[in-house]
Amino acid sequence: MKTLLIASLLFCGAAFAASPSSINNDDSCDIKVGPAATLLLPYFEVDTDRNSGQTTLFTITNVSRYPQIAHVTLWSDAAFPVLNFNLYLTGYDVQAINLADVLVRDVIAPPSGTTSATTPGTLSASANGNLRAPLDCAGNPGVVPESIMSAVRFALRTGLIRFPGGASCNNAGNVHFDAIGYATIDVVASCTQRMPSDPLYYTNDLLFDNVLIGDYQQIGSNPAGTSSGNFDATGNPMVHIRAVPEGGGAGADVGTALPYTFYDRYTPAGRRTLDRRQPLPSAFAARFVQGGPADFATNLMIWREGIGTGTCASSLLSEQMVVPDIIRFDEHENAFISVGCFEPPGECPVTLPPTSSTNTKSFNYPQMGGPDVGGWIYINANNGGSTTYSVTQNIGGVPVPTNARTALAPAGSTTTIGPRPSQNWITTAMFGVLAGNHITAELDAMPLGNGCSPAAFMTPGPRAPAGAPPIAPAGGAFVCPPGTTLTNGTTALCTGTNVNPKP
Amino acid sequence: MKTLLIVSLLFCGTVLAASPSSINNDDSCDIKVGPAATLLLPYFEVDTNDTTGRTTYFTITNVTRYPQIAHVTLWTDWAYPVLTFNIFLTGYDVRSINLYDVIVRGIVSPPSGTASLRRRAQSQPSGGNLRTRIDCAGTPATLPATFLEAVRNAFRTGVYNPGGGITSCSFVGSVHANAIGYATIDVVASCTNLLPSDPAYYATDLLFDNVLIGDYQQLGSSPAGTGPALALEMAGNPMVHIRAVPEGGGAGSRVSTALPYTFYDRYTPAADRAIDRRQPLPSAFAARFIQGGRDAFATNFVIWREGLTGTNASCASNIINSAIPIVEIIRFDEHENPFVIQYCPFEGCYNPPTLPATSSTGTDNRSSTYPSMGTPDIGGWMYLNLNDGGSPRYSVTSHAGGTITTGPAVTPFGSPRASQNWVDVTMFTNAGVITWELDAAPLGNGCSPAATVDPFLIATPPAPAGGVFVCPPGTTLTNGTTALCAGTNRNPNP
Repeated sequence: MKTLLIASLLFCGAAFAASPSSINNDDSCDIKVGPAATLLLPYFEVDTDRNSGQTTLFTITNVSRYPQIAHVTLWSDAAFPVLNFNLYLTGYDVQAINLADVLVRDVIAPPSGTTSATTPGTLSASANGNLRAPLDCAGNPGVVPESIMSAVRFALRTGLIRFPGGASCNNAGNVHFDAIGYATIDVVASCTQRMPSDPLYYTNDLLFDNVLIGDYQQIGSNPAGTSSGNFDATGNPMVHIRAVPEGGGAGADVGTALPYTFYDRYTPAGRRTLDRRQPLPSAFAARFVQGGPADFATNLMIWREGIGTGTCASSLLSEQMVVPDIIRFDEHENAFISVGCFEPPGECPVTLPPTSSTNTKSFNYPQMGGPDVGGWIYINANNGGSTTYSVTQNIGGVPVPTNARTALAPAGSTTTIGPRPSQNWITTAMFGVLAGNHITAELDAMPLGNGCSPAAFMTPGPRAPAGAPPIAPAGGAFVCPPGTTLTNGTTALCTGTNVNPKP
Repeated sequence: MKTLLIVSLLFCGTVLAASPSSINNDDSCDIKVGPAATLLLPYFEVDTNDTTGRTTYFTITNVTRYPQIAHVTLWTDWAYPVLTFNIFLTGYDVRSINLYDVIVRGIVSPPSGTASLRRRAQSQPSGGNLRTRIDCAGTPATLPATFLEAVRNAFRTGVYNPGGGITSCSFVGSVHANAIGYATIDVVASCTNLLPSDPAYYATDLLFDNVLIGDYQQLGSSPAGTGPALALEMAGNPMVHIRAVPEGGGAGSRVSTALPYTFYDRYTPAADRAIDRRQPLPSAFAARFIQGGRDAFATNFVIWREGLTGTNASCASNIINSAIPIVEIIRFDEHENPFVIQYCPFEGCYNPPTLPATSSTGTDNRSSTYPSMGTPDIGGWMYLNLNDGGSPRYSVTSHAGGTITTGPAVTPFGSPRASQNWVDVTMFTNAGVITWELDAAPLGNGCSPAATVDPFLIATPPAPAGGVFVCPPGTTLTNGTTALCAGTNRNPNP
């Protein structure tokens, strides 16, 4: 009987484990391309001196019939919010933004900006019950005063904040010729001027409707972040970050099973998952090609979650964050490793800021020792964690945020402080010249696991704990549903799981 | 107390309903870019005469330390499988394939193919989920010339006559100057020669490990499918990453899945239609376009569509995959003006547009597939409901009881379900020869019910998801009302 009971329990467990938990739309921690509540443009670069024509364009589309407000925030490469503006989108609207218009010509959505006075299309609804009444978008500026925009350009090129009449900051970004940063685009309820770094943004403004899609193009004579010349343009979808669960009015306080969220470090202290935005993963597989008859090269655009709450002081902490583990595999699976070093001190880890575009030939990446011209790179971009990060535990039906270590930061993993790994996103731009023609392609690197996965361990080696699993939080070991074996009839290697722990 | 109890129950219900069902990896019906068990290259085009240099590359990577076998099948544009070959990947291996090498030179992965002999220190030896006696040492590096000629003819003329006892067929694809088709790449347990159209493939060969990632590049002097007039140099994109849900188990494992149907549905064994456990693809998409303007922009939609034929299809029946109907297309210009091709089922009315199982078509006003734009705008987006209306070859399987329902029975998913599709967008211009390619955004997922169609009044919001408000229990819209909270992301279980 006891055996039978145990067998029954095992069966129940097996049936539960074997079934996917969700066949619903938009109902997981995985990031996909599809209508979302926040879009992340992971990297932009604009030549503000108009020498090279380098610029970034992005386009957002409202796939619902209701009008929506898209709140755009431009952040520096040290994750300091520099500028925000609103785009009023009628139902089924599409709006392209050339960041050279914004940053060089001081114009948002030329010729005169977007406004709620626009006549909607015949299939579009005239009002949205999720927007605040009365609507305050009629005065959306089309032209921004030069005194502001010159300060914005200065901030995005030098990292120095010098807004007229405002506070100053000397640590808001790195120094570069072009204006470099990243952008977030949120669905909001009013034409707010609040920054996402302000906790009030989440209690008053942010909405939760997965209605926006977007893509971007990087155009210029040089690849973003390099001075090589074999480049015309690349394009890619933006990162589509969904609200899970979807819906509700501004400020709606709805529980989510997400252990933490995209805007975690900016949300109110008592309700750290108020934004309900999916978190981003930390480990990726990115392909590269460099050399060969087409003189190919590859740049990796890497967005990284910063540390702190968006203040001047915290931006300094974010400027150079550790990348703990990078392994380059060539075409013959030879592994080249640069192991970051949280300890012992004195070694030199690879560091990258919150957004960057770096060439895979650079010393940020392990150098290849053979003649191969391609392969792929495993990147664990977890910055080691931070006590400014949180996860929210569900204790007796009550959400309880914590900054202490949790199951998402297992002992021996690359999270050494705080409750979870940091969030990241990577895209790959490959470019070269073939028969005189410039050829380019950009695509997302592949996340290994998702934002709800625990932190990955260090690559097996002297610095990793004994018995450390293979690279990545997922994908390195066999997963066997209950009751199954591998083809050879064994289960000894069935050590993998796709089940993520609750914190 | 009673009030308190009710409040408590409501609270529990709210928490339950409001919580996402899964925070696990790879555990939903949504298609994402990430390690998968099947990769779909939705379209390839190769100039077999080598006059334009047009070709398609794809690259697959094994992200695990264990060796894997990738089973590549090349299908015609009428969804007829013509050629299969296997690629043995050592742990952490990456392998690029130029389809010109395969289709014109007859070389699979030059210089000498792939075999199970290579291994590096970081990689694990053979074993695990591969069959004990790996049969990949003899994986052919070159294809016989006569067979190769038959393969090229199949992709260019639609006539397949390989000889050697293989049944010939004169209706396997459209006629075009270049070799056109699509490819599937599956994780398998041995270097099998079975085709995915053979039910035995699922019982003996297919594996369920989400371990492959892949991307492709389309190279050429003109955009795929448009002839020589326009300029395109290269566009690249990830392949479609189709995961096994749940992941894992040996070849032939029979594990239940909550997926109502699967990617290989119409080829799987009659009694076990979801045995492949591959995620289904959606049917409705939002795809951006740009055409005209100072820089002479143009856009092509690369569209893969599930065919209507099943296993053991007759040669003549392949023709129905040449013109698969499209339920609904709405074009929105930059001012949200909608343009629709209206049709009706009565004689004399406009017939619905059709496309074959794979195609690359221009979106400009010369196209007979897409509604013309009546305004001077040069951009916008299109709502594409690519459901073909269903087929007797399609099925859905209930999760609770395993009951299989086939067409034309009506289920919450359609008759019995919507067809599967995928859309990529290629934008390009002559001025500066700028190109990029990206996925169109699926609206809903492959587990969503078929989108409602209203071809006469177009009063219904497009798409199975995204058109109406979703409100978690206990919430209202910002204006305090719930009257418009008619949406849901919850998909039915057949």
